[in-house]
Amino acid sequence: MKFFFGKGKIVEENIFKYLDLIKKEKDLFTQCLEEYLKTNKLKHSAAKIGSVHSYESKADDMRREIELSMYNKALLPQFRGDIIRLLELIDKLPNKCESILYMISLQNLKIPKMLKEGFRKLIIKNAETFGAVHVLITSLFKNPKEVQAYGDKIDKIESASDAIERELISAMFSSKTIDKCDRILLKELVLEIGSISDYGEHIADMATIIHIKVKV
Amino acid sequence: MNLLYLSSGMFLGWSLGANDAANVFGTAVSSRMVRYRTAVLLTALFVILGAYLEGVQGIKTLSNLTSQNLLSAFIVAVSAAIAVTMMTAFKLPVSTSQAVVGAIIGIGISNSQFNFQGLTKVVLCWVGTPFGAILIAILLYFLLSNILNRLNLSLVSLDFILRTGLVLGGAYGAYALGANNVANVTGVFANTIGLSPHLLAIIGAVSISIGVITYSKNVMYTIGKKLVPLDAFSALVAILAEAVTVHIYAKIGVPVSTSQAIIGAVIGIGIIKGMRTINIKTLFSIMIGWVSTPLISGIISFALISFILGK
Repeated sequence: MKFFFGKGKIVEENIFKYLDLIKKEKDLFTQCLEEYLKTNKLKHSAAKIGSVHSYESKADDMRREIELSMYNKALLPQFRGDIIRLLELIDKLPNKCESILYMISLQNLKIPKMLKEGFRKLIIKNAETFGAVHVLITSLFKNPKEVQAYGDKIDKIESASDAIERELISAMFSSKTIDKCDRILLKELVLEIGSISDYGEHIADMATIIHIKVKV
Repeated sequence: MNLLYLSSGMFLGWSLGANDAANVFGTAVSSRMVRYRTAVLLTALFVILGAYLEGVQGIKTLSNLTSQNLLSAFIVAVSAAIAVTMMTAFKLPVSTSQAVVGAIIGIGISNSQFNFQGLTKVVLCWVGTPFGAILIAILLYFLLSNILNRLNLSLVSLDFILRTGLVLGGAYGAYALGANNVANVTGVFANTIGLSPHLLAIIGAVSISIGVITYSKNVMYTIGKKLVPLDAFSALVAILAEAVTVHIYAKIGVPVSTSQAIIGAVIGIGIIKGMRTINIKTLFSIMIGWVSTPLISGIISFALISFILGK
């Protein structure tokens, strides 16, 4: 099969491997956050944060390898730039996971009990982005007519995340028990977690553009 | 001595290869879908095949257009080759057929032996070639885009189809080029040098191939980039439209210009994509090249024959 489809097929396979790598990082990321929500600490997750960093680093290497093969004349010339832009957008997801964990760990952020359920919902909703992006990119390469439907699904995830973000920010700024400085730091954390689904939306937009361009 | 005369035909073959190879793979190479090296090797191979299998018909038609002796055949080939090489240096895709016919007219005017009836058929086909290619390109564009869009193709599959299509279409175009245009190279020697049409076809085809391999890059980018910027699908449609047009004329037995066919095809795509995509300046230069090529070769052949015969 590879013999007939050449470099394009290799790029496709490497993109799927890249997505699998990101999924593993996402699993570790959510495990860390679950522990953090339970204990308000990431102390026991140091090894996991290290693994998240390692996955992020591997994902970067793989992305560069795919980009290099694109510059080496894989796939149609008019799509090479678009695919590279798409990969760079996807790469924001693992980067964001890593930066959120470091943010919590380095700033020693504590989530007040009253906000924990909201944060849990926000994390679950944004973690859904990873699965949806995986399916979206798979459909772009395997079954393009489904791209629009999966793009819409990511759009809904992003809207739901926005609603949770607004609720959380409103709750923390209405609270009289949370310190003003903590409010600002927690708000920043909310926006950081919410940016995962924002990037998901950008990825969906780019995939839709590529799908439209595939039509001749 | 015969070899010396025939060398002019081989010079013409070289100049044709250098100019016309662009017509079959120019769009594919310019759209970065096929490597230049792959393109020239495929062109060289299929030009020889086309000339050997289907080129004899055109040689017979051209040899009946006028009765040439060895000297006038030599002058025709040299004049046409100089005109085409000049245009290649200017990076303009031109018609070798027109250069040959222009040179024949130059000689015909000089010795008053020209067959104007035969010329009418050829000139009609010249006008028909670009317009026919425009029409075929438009039809093919709508037909193929409709089929591809219905197939729900992935990126990789589309890449495979277009890449394979461009290679096959280019090979077919090179085959049609060999079948149709070898007559321009050695056709004028058919009644004079005593070689069989098949042998003349092979000699012509090898000369064309050498031109393809050594000096064809210049014109390729004029066709694929400067006139209308083409994506891979448009490049495929252009190649197919050009090949179909030229093959139709090869079947009729009239040597026509692959340059005019590919330019017609590219303009056809420009029409579909909006007239603004056509670079009018480049189009105008090409048109000037088309008019001046037969004129230059005619003047050269007239001057040469007049000088040699002391008229």
